[in-house]
Amino acid sequence: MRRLILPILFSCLLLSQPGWAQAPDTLATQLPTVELSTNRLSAYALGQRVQVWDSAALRPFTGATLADVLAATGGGYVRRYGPTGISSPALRGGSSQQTALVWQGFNLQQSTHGQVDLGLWPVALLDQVSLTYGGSSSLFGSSAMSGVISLDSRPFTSAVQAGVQAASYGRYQPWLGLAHAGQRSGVRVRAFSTGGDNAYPYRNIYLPDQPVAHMLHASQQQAGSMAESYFLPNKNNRLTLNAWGQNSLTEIPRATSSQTDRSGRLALAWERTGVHTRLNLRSGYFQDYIRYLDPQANLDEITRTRTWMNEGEWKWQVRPGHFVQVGLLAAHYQAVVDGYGTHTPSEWRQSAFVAWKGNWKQGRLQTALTLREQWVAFQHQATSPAANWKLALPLGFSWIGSGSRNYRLPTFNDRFWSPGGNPDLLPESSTSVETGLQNAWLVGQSQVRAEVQVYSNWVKNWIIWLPGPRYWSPSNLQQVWSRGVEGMVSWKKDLSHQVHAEARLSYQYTRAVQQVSRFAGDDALGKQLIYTPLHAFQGQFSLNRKNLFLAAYPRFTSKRYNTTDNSSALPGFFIADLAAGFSPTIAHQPFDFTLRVDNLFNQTYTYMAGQPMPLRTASLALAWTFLP
Amino acid sequence: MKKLPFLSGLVLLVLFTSCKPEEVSVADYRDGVFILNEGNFQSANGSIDFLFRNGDSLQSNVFANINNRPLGDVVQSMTQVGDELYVVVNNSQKIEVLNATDFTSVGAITGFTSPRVLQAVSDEKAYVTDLFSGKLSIVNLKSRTITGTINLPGGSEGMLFYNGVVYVGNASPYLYLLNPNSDQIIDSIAVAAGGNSLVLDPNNKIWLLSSGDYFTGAAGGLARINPATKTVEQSFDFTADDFPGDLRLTRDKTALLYLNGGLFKMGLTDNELPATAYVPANGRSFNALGVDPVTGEVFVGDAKDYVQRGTIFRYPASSNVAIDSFQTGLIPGDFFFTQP
Repeated sequence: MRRLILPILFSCLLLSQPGWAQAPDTLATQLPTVELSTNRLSAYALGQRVQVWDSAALRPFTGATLADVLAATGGGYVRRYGPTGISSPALRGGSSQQTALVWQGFNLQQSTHGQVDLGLWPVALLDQVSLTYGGSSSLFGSSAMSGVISLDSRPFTSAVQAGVQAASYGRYQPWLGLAHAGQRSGVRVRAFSTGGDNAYPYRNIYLPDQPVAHMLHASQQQAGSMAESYFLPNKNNRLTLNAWGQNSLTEIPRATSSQTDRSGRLALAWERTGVHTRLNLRSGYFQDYIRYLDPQANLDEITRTRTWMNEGEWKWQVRPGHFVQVGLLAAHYQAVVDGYGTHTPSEWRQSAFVAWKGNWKQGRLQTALTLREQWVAFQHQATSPAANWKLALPLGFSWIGSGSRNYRLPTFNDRFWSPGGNPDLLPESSTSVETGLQNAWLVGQSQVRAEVQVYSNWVKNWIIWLPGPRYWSPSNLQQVWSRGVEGMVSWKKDLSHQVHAEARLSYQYTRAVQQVSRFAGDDALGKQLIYTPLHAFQGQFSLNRKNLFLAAYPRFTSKRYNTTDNSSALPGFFIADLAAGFSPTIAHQPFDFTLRVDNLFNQTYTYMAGQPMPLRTASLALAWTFLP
Repeated sequence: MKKLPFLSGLVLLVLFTSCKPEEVSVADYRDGVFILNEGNFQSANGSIDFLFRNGDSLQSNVFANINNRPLGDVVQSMTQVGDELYVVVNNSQKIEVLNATDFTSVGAITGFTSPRVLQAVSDEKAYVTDLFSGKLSIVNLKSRTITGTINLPGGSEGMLFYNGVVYVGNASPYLYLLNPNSDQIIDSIAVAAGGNSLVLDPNNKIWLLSSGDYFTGAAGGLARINPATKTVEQSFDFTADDFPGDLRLTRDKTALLYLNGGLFKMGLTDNELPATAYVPANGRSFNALGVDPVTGEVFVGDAKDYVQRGTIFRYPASSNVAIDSFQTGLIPGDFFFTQP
């Protein structure tokens, strides 16, 4: 164990060092297939739609961020304040706070504002991303009302990898990865750094003739590293320790302000496997520091949070195909925030869950029932039940569905911001139902998959900040009904023994409507929520031939209202990215070249009003892998 | 026969597209009310509407429609000097200069940090307060340039030019006196913090309304100042829960109006602040107040949730029963009344 801890500590020290990282793919391959972490509860969400990005799907996004991946290929809207600004997910008409982000089984949403900034998560540190659509609080707890993004580690092999990516607008990212995987222990360390002035081109639509300009004060300096390790004392026990540290300094474009985001994450887990049982104990410690500095406004706001989560779960195979799982979570949250005045919130939150999964009729019918109870300081807050099913139908069809109640606890900002915080807020709650059909066919040499899903989600006690005479204050006034249709069809074919083609088309229709009048003269009643496109379409086309690949990512997003009365909207946009890769072997060493052209058609578009996205840009990445 | 409507439509289309467009008469914006809609911070969706006194017709978004570009954000205030209108756009860090008759853009003054209000002291010279820079800007209105700055710590807001002295409201608990000849701060008067708006009453007394200090929790106040003696003759204290702003004088100059959640009215000779609102907010977010010097009508802007179009409520000079209400742009924040 001592030998394991040292590399981990070393990797943590790299936080402040530039120039270390790893590409997403090559360190996660075969050899000792030790699963460091799995999305352990996703098996129970069998009635919900799940989108997975494996290392191959992530490779064209080398040097990019999770925000880039989800915005280009995900079936939801990413609220991006420019390419380096805050980027938060918004799924199925939900708020950014209603999608949980899970790493090593722990929800990483900030206790203060309840969001995650996807722009701070580099693809260089990701093996696999999965996105579960719809509510699943019974599995993942608070905030999993609209969806769950899960960052999953994959098995790795001994390797050394180094690479660098450079973009046409002055952004660069070197990375390095080192991994040793033995039969009983292993460690992998990956690190990256991002820099450059990031002066991306954009069209200034607010000036006469709408000239093209380069964004000023838009740099982002980042450095981070992740260390993962495992130790197998015997065949029944597994110990894992994971650490992740990152530091970012992001300039706010066209302003004098900047933000520092510093995070340290540590997760320790022990798994004991019996004949019919499995016990998991895990503990995670998370520390975040955010400093918003605006010398012009004389603002220097600091937020510090500490979270310590401890979870135990026990899974029992009652009989073949039938599982019962129970778990307890105790988490301590603490925040020191300038905006809270003298108040320093610190509290324990507890939750307990029980899950049962059954297989019937030789596995043709799968069912899952789950239930979670949530307390804050032993005061009961929410009950979240869910039922999921998947039924095999003739002709290869599957009927899936689920019904659930979900919740989100108020954030510390909601409760303690001074002035305005409201300590009497109730948790947000939702009732969700969804159902759909899935199928997979073999048509000649082609593999075709298709799925269609419809859902309805009623949210009440939605927390919204509204103006008062002196200051803004949150209340549980908003009620929203979201419903929609999601469809996906994919096609794969081996055009020859060397050429493989793949296409994936997905579409989302999202109608999310305000259901109550929140104040006198509220014209938002019955209107679509802001920044929620009614229609969205994503396409992925790829062609692989030996060591070459070519991929295209066209997508369309319809207009998004930016006023609650729907009186104005941002225009819809159709954009496309292009990626090409070449993986030669030079002097017996494998190399990967990836060329990427974003916004191929040079379109002017924004996700959020007044926050322009780049015009056409290009980037080139080179990675080298050494396999001992 | 079915082709006939199509063919006649085609002929009409050709005729219309062949004709020289009819000359569009240019509107005259010298008799009415400009409604300044702030827009959302960094969203460049501020706008200006114009209500014609003659016929009460409303033109929306006049700046963008006439000048073919968005105005920016946050639209803060408007001032007329000679034949030109000066629109201060706070977050866009600029002052748009417009022809007062047809509202066409004639230029812009840039280089500010966070401009709030322009106060002219001559046809050529003006001062501009700033929220964040800790300075007042000295502006040459002819060359449309910033010619200098005056250090003044804290954010500055409303100004009043009277008897050769510029009175400057400030976030600090002082009202500053500025000599426009020397560009020097010559004195200060202790008042409640957060001085935001000033009016001159018929007795040549200056009234300053202070909102208080948001960060320290200091309460706001209303002060009657004798400019001759540079002293506060009478002061009224708000509570720390109040956030008063937008001090105005009724057209007959017998009473003060201000916003503090609702609309409040206070006689110039009253000895205490009004206990109840003249027009209660009743869940509305009153964010703008103006008194038409021509009609005496009182205009109140409701910003609602600040993410939808606001509503303007119009009250007669002598009643708190609204004449009417109408929709305006995003976050009505101020009014400018032309004087034909």
